[in-house]
Amino acid sequence: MRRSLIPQLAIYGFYLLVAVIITYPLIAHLSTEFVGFINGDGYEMAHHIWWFKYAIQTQQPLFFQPLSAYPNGLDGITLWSDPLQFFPAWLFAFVMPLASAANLADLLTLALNGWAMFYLARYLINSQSTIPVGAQRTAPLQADSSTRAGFKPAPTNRAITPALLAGLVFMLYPTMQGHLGAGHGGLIVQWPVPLYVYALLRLRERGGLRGILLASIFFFLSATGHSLQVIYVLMPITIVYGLLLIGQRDWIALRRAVIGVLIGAIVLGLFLLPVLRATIGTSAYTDAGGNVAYSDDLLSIVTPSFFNPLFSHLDFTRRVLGVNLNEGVAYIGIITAILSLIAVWKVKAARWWLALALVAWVLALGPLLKIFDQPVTYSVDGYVSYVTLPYALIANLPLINLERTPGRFGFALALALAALAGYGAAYLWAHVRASRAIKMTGLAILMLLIAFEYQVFWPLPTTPAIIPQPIADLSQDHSVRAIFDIPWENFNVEREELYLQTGHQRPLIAGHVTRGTPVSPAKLTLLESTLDPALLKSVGADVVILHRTEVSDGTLEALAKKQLGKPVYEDDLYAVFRTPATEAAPAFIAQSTTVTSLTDQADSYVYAPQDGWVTFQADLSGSQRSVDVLLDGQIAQRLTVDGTTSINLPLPVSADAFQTISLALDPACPAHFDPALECRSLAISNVKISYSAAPAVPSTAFEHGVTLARANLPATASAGQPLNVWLWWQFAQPLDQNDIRFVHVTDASGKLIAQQDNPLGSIKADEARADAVSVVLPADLPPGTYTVSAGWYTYPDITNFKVLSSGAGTLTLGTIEVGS
Amino acid sequence: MRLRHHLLVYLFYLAVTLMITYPLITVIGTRMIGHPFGDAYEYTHHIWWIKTALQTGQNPFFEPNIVYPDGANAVLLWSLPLQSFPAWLFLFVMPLPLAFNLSALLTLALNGWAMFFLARYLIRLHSQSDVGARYIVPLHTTAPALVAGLTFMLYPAFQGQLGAAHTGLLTLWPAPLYFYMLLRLRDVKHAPRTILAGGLLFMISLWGSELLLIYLLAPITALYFITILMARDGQTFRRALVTVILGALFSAPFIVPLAIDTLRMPPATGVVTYSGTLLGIVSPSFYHPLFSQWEYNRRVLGVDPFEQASYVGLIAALIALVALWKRRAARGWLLVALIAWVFSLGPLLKIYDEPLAVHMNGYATHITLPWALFQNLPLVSIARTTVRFNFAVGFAVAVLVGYGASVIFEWIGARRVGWIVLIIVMALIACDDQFWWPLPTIPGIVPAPIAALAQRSDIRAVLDVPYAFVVREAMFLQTAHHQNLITGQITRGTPADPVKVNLLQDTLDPALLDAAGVDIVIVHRDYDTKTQQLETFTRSKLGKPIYEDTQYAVFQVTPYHGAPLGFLTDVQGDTLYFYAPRAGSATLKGTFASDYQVQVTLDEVTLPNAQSSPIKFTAGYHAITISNDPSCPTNDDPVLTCPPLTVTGLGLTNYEASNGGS
Repeated sequence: MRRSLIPQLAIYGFYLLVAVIITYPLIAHLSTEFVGFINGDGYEMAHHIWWFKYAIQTQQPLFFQPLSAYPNGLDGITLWSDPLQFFPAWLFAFVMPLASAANLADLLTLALNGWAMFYLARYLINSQSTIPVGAQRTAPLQADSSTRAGFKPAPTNRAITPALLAGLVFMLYPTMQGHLGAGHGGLIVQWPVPLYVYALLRLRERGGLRGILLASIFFFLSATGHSLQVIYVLMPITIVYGLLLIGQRDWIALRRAVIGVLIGAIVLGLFLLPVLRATIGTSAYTDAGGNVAYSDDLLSIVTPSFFNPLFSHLDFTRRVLGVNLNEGVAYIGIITAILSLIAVWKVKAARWWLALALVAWVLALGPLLKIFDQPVTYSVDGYVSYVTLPYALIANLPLINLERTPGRFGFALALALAALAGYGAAYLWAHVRASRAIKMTGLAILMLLIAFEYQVFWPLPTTPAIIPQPIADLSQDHSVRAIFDIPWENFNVEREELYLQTGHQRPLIAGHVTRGTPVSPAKLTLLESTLDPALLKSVGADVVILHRTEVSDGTLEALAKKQLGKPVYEDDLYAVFRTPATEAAPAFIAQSTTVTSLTDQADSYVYAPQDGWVTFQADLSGSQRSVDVLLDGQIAQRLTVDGTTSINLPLPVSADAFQTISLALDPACPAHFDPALECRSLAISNVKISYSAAPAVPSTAFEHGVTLARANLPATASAGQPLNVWLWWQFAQPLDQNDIRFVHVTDASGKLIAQQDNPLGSIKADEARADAVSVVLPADLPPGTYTVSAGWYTYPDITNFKVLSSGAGTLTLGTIEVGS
Repeated sequence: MRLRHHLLVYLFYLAVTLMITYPLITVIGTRMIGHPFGDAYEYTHHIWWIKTALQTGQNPFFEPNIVYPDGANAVLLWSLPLQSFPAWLFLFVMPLPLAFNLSALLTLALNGWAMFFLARYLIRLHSQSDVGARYIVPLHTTAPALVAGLTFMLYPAFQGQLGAAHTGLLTLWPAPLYFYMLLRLRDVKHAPRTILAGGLLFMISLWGSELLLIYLLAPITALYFITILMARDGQTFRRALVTVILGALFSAPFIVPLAIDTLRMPPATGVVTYSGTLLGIVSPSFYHPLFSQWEYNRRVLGVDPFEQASYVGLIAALIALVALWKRRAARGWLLVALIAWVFSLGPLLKIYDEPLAVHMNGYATHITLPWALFQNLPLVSIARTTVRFNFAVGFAVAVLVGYGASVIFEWIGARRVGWIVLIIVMALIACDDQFWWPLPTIPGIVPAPIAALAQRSDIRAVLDVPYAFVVREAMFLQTAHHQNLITGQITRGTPADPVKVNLLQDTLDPALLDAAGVDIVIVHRDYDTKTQQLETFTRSKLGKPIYEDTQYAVFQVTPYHGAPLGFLTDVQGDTLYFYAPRAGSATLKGTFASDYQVQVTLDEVTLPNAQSSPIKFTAGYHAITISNDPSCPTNDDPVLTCPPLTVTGLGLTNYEASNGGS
């Protein structure tokens, strides 16, 4: 292969031209529109690109977002993991408008994808003529001498056109275009992948440190557009390649590949370590769900886009792709399919690519088989089931559970199909008896047809990149501490507010780095549902922006006008309110759940101006169902409901804190099941939350990981009446039925007057218990001062848990006065 | 090897058979192989019937003495001759239990010998091609083949079937011989003779059970063809294809009538019940003294250890690993074993005898397995017991063990210690694979007073109750009393009208009994578990029994001379059985409470307006069923439940015959 730069640049220029054409009319609005649908990630990407540039300009930390989740800011470490998602866009942003920078980066990336595949395909097709006789090895994924009789390897210069076609297939593959439409700028960074495969194949031939280094670098780079490419692309490619080497017993090549991949993986692991720490164990990532929604339909490989003018009238395309066009489009295309079949039939080396294509496709189908965008049900012997697929086996493995979009295995499918198409085209090139010009013309027509049938969008959807001037002008108003965008629990608003921030540059009450805001839903819900100026002021929300297109009726705007007065600016899209000044302090607010049938989780929210306790009351009815009461996600009580159970639980609240009290069914009802069945849900009624202020006392740690975090003891009590003590225990270690919690009342001489010693049941580490203790005082108890103490001991040996700070076996909670 | 050597090998396997079936040999003339829930009574009935039919000049393939008065088509006995042969031949000269047991024992030993024969050929083939000039000693071929034969004969999946007395299924010996013929196709000069033999053995392989075509023949034949295709051996491929086609043609006269008969029947259910569990291959029998104290094997094998037995055997697995490590030829057999094992797991993944219910991304589902793809294919759909793919696993494991043992004996060389090793290895395999200890047996003697009914000519038919549980036992009693049965079956279930039998059993109405021809009622006390409710009821209707012992109470039905049988109903839960002497209509009554829609069906046909307008029906027996619509699926997800359906006061009123009668 000639190593001159100019031909390569010409090839790149060709792909760039194609990129400009297929993204029409983007080129006409390069600086005023972003690539992608309004409900895509374009605004989020734009925000992060802006942030890189802004942070560099203002010398702020790149990987922390102080302007989100006001006043705490947000960990932005996930931006670290995907440098090619924002580069070179943020560099461009220094010299051009944000939209131009983002769009240009996308166009350049698309073209680079095409060029990289071209480079790999040219190598695959040419490999026979470039490897010296005697030095060549038979490589899987690579044309070899064992191709069927009659296949004549194309000379070097004759591989260009078939390789161009392969590059085009890869670059334009519908999965790629689908993500372009979703504004997934990072996911379309695919160019390192073909180069990684190229490096692996070269490594097989030659070995050497340089080869290993090259494989490692491209392994690493492949995951820098989006770290989950490790799963979607690197994993299937590497595993299939490794298995093929094992099958061929090519231990030398396997050893080289393992070394190259291991080095790349170690470097990538070190690079991603901070991100992994932030994401693993974060439910927003691990429990995100969506594996079924974002998987491919069985028919998607034969379903072109319904936005393509030629196929828009086909009804089945809409039924198959449904609302999952961005993630679920994986159309193979007629031309590509034919070329691939020729390759599989005639070129032995191509068959390994078929194996990769099959593996990637099956994984892309996700955990459940879908047809017409709905999971298929299968009935046997009265058992109704969905059809589970191999992906279900791996879906819950560590790391893999971070991903929720199996359809993205389509990227690996794209690579395999591009290689197959390249082989097929090369075979035709070698076997069609025609002049070079006719052959070139023929392949050019094929490329044109491929481009045409692959076209997912026409025109490409774009999103406005204009921020109203009055909103942008907020950047000059330093009296604005933070901005609260409503309705907060709205996918589009979550992204639009980020984009608006690139103009107003003021902190956001919500805000996020990826997927959704980590700010407490209690805070955002109570702020939005009350729009209480005192509460807004207390959290620093000096401006409220209502996103008018995202509210279904005028209720929220009416509330905003009532609470905040007239907007200071309004247009069709936004209404901007200033939070009126107020001297009032926010009061206790509680918003009880409105759920009446508990199938999963029902949340209630509270805000307390001072430390204290809330009592959470509810009546639950059901049959043999376990339910957890959680305070800010921590289990505070576990109970089994069989019949009707009333709960009345004291829970500690902190001053100026927004807290969530949840009822969670365990196990929760599945969202989808046979309609002939019903879920054993729980009926909830009479939910009440009341509040009483009480100062918080320092927490006390006991042995065995037990901590008394809060306690509430009345000052007085009456003889013959119950003494109600509220305790809030937290557990760092598991406890069992033989661990007994006690509350003792003693007189001045230390004599035990009354007690309640109970096990609190089986408790797992990191749980808590709201412990409402009622100790009945003797009816003949003389008036006086009595001491109340609490602690734990093990049964039956009666060994007290020591208080870590004092070494005592009991903790004095305080004294009570018993009147006459 | 000469014939006498083969005879010695056969006798060796026969001796092993006697040991593993202990204490059968001690009761061989009075008791029969199998658990009370097994098929021994059904099979012995058929054996008796063939012998009786031959003696009396009747058609052996139609049984007029069951499902009185219609009789039943017994084409199965034609299709599966080795299920009853040579037992019916033995029956001419010995008692029924002895004939049945002896036939089973001989078959088991023959299975071992046939695998020995195949394994020896495979090992010699390998030794000749791979070892080349190295000399072959008996220890290198005969000893490993002996181990392979033993492994096959004792494979737990087969022993499990033995416990259910599925002697037809255990007629496995033609399969190794069939495969041997396929292998011979590669190198014989006179191919037509081998092709003919292969075709015949293909046919004979299905004479024990036609389902062996799916569970055993198909997997091993597929392996053979793949191997030939990969070797690009066109000539052998063509020969093999002809052999299989010839085998299919030979089998057609036997299989086609059965297939037609089977396809007429409602779709088989129990595919999930009779599929293997994931842990089955590592679960030895809990009847084994060494493993009986474990808990997990009881949970895995559940209440049906007969079908669920699929333990691969620790010793066998270790020897198979040696084969995989050292013998390239063994690897194809691993593929067969793996694919067959995955198929044996059926359409839904089961762990601990229950399909695994999971919630996946909010979808309540089970884990579907590859067999779900094939389950509903024509003909394949009749195979409801996918766990029997373990037959192919057993076959493959036995071959693997043969290969592995040959490696081990090559390591040992020609030393005498090899024979000691052989004995130890076989003893370990026998111990590891042993499924029953003792082997379950059931009584093989019919009480004399019941047998004496054979002398009476005034009996039209016998009704055995509770009929749902005692059809097979009733058939066994018939081998002695020779009287017609109201029920009876050829296989799986009685073709008798369930409405008629339910009405007979639940009402013991004199007119109905008379109309049905019932002159004797036998209560099987072991199955009358509900505080002898059925016997008490029978006594109240029919008086004192004419004979009783701990197992049976025999009642004489008094001759009926009253009015002809009229309109009769019987409610059992959500189902109403009724008899209408003439076509007509009646009004459904009752209260049906459910959160869902309620569906009323007459003889499984939905009646849209059953509660608002009279139900029309023909003369005869009918069933009305009340159920939720949609009907409740099988559910083992504790989070989900079927909406309750409460049926009260179910009945039919205002019966009017079409011609105005009532």
